[in-house]
Amino acid sequence: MNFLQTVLAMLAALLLKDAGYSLWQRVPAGFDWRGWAAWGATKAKPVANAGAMVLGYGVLALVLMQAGRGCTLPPLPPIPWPVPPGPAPTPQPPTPAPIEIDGFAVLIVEESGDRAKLTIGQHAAMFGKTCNDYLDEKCAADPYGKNTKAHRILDKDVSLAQIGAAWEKAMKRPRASVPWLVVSHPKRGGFEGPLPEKEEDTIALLKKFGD
Amino acid sequence: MAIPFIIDDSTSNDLLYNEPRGLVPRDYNLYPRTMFQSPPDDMPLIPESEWDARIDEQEERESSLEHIFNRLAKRLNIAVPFTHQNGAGFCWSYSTGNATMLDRAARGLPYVRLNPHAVASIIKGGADEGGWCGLSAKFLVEVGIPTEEFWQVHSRNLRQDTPEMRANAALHKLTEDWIDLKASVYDRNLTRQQLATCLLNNIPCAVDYSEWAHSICAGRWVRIENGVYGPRIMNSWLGWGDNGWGTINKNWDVDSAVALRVTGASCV
Repeated sequence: MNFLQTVLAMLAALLLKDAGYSLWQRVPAGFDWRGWAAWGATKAKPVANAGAMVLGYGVLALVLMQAGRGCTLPPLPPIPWPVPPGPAPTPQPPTPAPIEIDGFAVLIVEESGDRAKLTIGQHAAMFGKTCNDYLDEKCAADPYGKNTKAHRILDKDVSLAQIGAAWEKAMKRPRASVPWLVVSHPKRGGFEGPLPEKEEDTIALLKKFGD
Repeated sequence: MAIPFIIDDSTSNDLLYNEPRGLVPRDYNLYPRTMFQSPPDDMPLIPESEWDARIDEQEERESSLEHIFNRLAKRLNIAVPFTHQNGAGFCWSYSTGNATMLDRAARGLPYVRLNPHAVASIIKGGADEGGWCGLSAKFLVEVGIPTEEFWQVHSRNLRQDTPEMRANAALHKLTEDWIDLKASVYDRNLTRQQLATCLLNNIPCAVDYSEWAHSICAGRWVRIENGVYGPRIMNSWLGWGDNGWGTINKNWDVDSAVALRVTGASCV
């Protein structure tokens, strides 16, 4: 008997057991066992139903056992032996860095005419001290500007003349909405998505790439 | 915290009128409102009921243009980060020039010193004459404004008007703007609400006050006392106010106002 047959047999046994238990539960108190021995002498309807149930379950079990005959299962895969440690694989960034600057860089694309629609948290993330101090500390030196760190807030329709090739490319990437946040680190990948509504969420997101 | 410099009825005239200014009120017959872009009628305005919360938020998170300006000055160790008119009657060009520099600072763009003297000198043919902020803003839209590398500081020499200077100026054009905040006499209150909205959103504005005969750059909307609000301005006079900043608490009418929403984002 193979594995599948064993399982089917066990299933059939369980069905039979279940049927027997149902039969026992349906026997009324003070049941006349002698009368029952002479089949049909009792008027207890549940007993008659239980008998049919036993018959049904039995047939089903036989069918299942028959169906399982001759079946085979695919062989189990061999258990691999432990491999001695070698050089660690190079971790791949989750997504390609969207700003081609050698270091942590951040871009926020906005529609300046809609600033009144910004949440307080978005306004704080764009202009507040906490976020800007963090960016000033962590961002790479901007290769296109003297004494400037690589974080910008640009209007979606701004002229791209002499803006710097990396920023120009980043501005041409697809966006679904504004304000739009682009975070980039050459070794840690990047994030592109709507600017979170809360300043804390923006800072948490920045720290995933900047720390 | 030091008490901020406030211009009110107790302010001596020495602090208001001793320096050259140069505002010539706009002639609406020659320069009608339709010549510039205005805010859309559905421009979202921040209602006065929200001003206190927004002002407190800006103060707590240090997110106003004045905060940004001070951080920049500290980080770059610049004693006078803004430009000043040095006795010339070019306030109307410095108001838009300083507003452009404030916008660049807020966007994290490289610090470049723009030269409003070039704009006014070219418009006035080298003469030291007054004007109004919309006039210089028009030039910023059409030509731009050069850096001090391409036009000598405080010079009116038109020989510097070269193709190279023009090419550099074009990098600092005013590309999106609300030139005309609704300053018409019949709707002063709307102007005030628009001005407050722009400043609470960190959109710098050049503002002309005919009573002061002066044009300045407004960078922040502040609460002077309970229920009393006003603009905090960056003046173009050296050694004035709080490192150039002061609060206006006068019943002056805004004669003309220009909101500078987007300027060129070039690195040079």
